[in-house]
Amino acid sequence: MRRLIFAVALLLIAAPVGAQSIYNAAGLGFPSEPVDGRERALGSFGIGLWGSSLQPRDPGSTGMMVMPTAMFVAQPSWTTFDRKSEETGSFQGNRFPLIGVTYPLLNGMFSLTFGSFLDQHFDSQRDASISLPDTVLAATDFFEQEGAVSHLTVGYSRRVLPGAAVGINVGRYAGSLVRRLSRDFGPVTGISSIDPYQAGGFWSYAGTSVTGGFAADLTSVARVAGSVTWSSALDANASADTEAESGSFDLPIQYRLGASAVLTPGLRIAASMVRADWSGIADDFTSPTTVGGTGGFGVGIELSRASLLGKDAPLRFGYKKINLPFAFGPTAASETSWAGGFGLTLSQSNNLVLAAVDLAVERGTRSDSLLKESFWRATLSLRVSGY
Amino acid sequence: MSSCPSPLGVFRVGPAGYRIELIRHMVHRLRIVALLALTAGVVGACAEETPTSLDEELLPREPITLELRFPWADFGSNLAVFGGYGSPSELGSGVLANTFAGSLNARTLVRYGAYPREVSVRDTTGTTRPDTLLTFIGGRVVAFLDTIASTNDGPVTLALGATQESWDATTVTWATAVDTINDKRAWTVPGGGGVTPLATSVWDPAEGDSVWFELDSTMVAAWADTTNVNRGAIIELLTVGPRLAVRGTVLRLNTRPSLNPDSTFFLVSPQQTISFVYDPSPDPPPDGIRVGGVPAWRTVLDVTIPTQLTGPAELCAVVTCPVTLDPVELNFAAIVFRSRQPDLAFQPTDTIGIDVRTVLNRAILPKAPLGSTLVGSLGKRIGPESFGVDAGSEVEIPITLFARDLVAGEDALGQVPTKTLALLSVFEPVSFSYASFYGPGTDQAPFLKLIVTIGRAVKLP
Repeated sequence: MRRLIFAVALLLIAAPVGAQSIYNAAGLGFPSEPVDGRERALGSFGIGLWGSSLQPRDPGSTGMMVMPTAMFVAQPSWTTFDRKSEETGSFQGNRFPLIGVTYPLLNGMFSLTFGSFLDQHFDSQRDASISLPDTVLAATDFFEQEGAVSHLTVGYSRRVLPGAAVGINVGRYAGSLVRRLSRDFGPVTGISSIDPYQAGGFWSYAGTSVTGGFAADLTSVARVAGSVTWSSALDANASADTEAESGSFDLPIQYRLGASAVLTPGLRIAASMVRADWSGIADDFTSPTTVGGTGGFGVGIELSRASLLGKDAPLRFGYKKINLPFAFGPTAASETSWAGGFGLTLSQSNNLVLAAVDLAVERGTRSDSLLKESFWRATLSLRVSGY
Repeated sequence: MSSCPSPLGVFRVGPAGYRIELIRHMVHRLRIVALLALTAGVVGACAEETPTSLDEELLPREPITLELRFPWADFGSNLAVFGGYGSPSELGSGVLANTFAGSLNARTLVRYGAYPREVSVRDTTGTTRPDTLLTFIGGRVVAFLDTIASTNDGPVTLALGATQESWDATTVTWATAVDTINDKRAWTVPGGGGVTPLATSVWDPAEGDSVWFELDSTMVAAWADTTNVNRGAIIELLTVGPRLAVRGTVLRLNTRPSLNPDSTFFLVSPQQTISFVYDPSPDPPPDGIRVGGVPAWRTVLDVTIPTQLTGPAELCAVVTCPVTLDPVELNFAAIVFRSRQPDLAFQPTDTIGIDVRTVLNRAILPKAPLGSTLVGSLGKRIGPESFGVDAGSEVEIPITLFARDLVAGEDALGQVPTKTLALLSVFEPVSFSYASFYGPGTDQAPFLKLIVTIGRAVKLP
């Protein structure tokens, strides 16, 4: 079983990270939350939920876990966009926002996660007409941006009280960016073929983060958790053959707070919020970029007594709104989404879930003054414990 | 009964309990395996599409594409013309001329192979048998002419003769019959030596593309000895003025077999070799460029690609001048020649293909090895009108790959590239006529044409 999980994880890691939004082209890209299907369905930012939770942004809750756990998350999405009513289109893609494992050691829980942070995949093109002494050439400029910033964390969490835990993650930002501009002259009449022009650069990302957090069960009906993530500057180091210079981007401190509670034996609620001030990064861009503060909240409910085929299958519904750090227009962009989903416990023993799958389906929009996107986003996650 | 720990919890160890727990354990695993497979399958089945927008504001600033022209002095040097590549016999065809364009005379020489020694004949009883006792009672030399490449519109008179001196097909010229190593012999009479007249014939292009000369048995017998190095036929144009192209000839033998003496068979002796001699031979051009002909001409020149660009103004508005040209910024490079009308006797009458190759070692010219073609197997095709009524038209020879290597300072193999180019015909030799262009010393000298695209560096967002 371990070999199989490892093989599937490798397969998914090796698969290309697909794109989610044209906002990938804004600023440093589109922020990609490393949360699983349960949290997506509850509109959560991945903090303060009941039960076992493996989230790089919630090291406190990791300390509440009692068994080694492995998790991976897949996230296909389908997006349509409308740019200033001049251009419409659609695209789809897959992402793998989170892969992680925990293992109990030294009276606590060690964790290792590999998650997404910023998505930067984007293509664009424009037509150009070039007047030469003897002819006029029709050319097309293609711009490709391939890249992403990922976040690798290693953490240690442990209970400090029977109902409280603290944890810390040390993370490393990694990834790369390729930006390539090419001009294709296509078939040319009256002149021999003209080779295309190409210019671009390659940068590799590096940075460090530290996340500290806590989680506390307030009696047996409520949990509250919080975390703070500090990040060093995100360095983009140009390769030796890249003409452009390296860069460095200030990343904000991120504050997260979440809580969940049992209202009735079959009804649970959850709420969370996030706050990060990205304004300090504005001066780091080579071209003017609209930068906003990331503030968001999400709420959700879970009908925990629902079942499917004799197995526990809690139904979940959620709502989330968050401002995006980068936008095209003069005002900040935001994303809102409604979500629904369910979990399915595949195996459990003594009230401990050994294997479960969680599915969330979101319908949402992203918009600023120039671009509006509507999306369907599915999040499917699998947790396996006790291996 | 006892219990033992398991990653899945504690279960009873006993015959019945063990079996139940084992089955439950297997069902649990199967579910997980199925789920993993389903997850991988669903995710893998989804197509990947990169978000794409046509918003021009999302692209880096537009690069500039320019055409730059450089005069000969800025890019070319050491131009030289070499001749003598190949021989007329390699063309596989002949040329006839009598004072064409006021000066050109040309004659075609042919040598035939061994006569057939056996033929299957139906005898007087109706049985087909091989017959080796053949009697050649006569024959005819048939010449096939190219009606398009020939310049005459009306009938012309041709003469067939027999050569009386030994000649070498690969080295024969108007002046020399043999010009091999340590053996150079001139014709006793230039243009084929003393010739025994055999026949004359009239060819009218309106009636067909062939002409024939009747031979008697004595003439046929004279060419039967293949050890006779003097043997050969020479075709001459008696009508003053035109130039004819001979595609080939054949010797048809009128044969009487011994098994059926009342019948006559027509057997064919294959053409062993064909060549032609002409006079006068063109002199090397003092100030021009020449490509083609037979023996073929090549033009060799050294090329330097300017890499420091100081203009024009629209370029310097985009980047800081002077700008150093990068190989990827060079989209197109060509040397533009202006066609020139050659000596009328050698003016092309059909499209010709010009090849361009690198000269790998200029120091050992004219026998320097050449690199691969820069213009493809068909070469740069140029119509005959460019060397006639349209003389002076521009002929663009693309050298983009060669120019990029020069700018980069190394070729695809990482070696220092040669800067020497050779212009030559696609095949050597390929035609009697040759292409001619104005050289560096004229007011229509070649120029270098570059199309470059230069932009700002693609930076981080």
